Amino acid sequence: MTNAYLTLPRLREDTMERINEAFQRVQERLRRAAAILEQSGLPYAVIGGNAVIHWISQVNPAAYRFTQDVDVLIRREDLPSMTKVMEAAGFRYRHVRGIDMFLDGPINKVQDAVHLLFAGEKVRPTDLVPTPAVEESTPGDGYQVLSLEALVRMKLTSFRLKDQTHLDDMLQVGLIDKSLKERLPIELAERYQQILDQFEPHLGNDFDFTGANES
Amino acid sequence: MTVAVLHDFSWQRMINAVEAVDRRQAHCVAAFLIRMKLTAFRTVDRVHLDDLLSVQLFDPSWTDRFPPEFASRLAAVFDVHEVWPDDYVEALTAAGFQSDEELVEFQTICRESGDQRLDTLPWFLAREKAHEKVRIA
Repeated sequence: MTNAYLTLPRLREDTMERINEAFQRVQERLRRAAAILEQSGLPYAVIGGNAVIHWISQVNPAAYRFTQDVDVLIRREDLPSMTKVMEAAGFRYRHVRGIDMFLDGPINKVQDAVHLLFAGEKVRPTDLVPTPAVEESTPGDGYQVLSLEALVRMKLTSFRLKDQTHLDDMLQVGLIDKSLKERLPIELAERYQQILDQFEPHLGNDFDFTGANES
Repeated sequence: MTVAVLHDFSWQRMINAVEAVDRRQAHCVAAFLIRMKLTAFRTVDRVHLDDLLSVQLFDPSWTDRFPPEFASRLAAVFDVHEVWPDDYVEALTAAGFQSDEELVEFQTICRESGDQRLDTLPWFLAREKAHEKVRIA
């Protein structure tokens, strides 16, 4: 296999500063997009890693996991109106290989865009359940954010390693526990049990949210 | 001898030498970290390895740097990694393919005939079902 790009970067002295700048850039893009959508009155909900950060931060702000993705749930019928307001504010609509997104100004990289998912649809044909309704959301810190349970369902549906880690994070801070399983669609309950079975409390989290050690 | 060395001295060569040391140091640190992550290999470690892969800090060409017992874990890390669509399309186009179907056909022919040209593709294009391992969310 070719090894086209393996020149490791020099170790930098300004690493923390660059991390902070990257975090601020993502948050700024999220807040700018959300402000436009709030003003438009179009329903939306922040989903993905930023929604996880929102919920984790309610319990333990130090336990959040950085994400560079800005993901938003919208209704498909609102896409034309949303494109109009977002483009008027400097974003550019783009569709590439199944991803709908708003590029942030002149930046062309997919990873630096606002990614869209559509409510009530399956992201992949193999998904066990469709995405939630936009209405399953709650006001957050300057933006509408997906409800915790709907977010858990989305994470259990995509169930990539990153999603499993987000669910573990929620368990670690006590946002969710084994009682949630009863409220999940049966298709997702099995995956949730898998997360509970893998759960290892961090040092200092001397609780048993999962009930795994109950006699 | 000393005269010859002084005569050969150039700042650029000095800078290159320092950078080479930096790069070796970065490689050592990265390899050590990857080995730790491969050893623990919890879900969170696999996410970290995927993150390192995403920013191209290592790739399958590193497999030989680790003990053979890590090979299957490394293979699992490379197998589940999803590339950004931009990177996939750019690599696909650069390799001369017009579509996913062309890539799949090329892979099939190479695998069946033992054609080494498969090894000239970027690793994420050369793997099985490469076109399905592209991020869509």
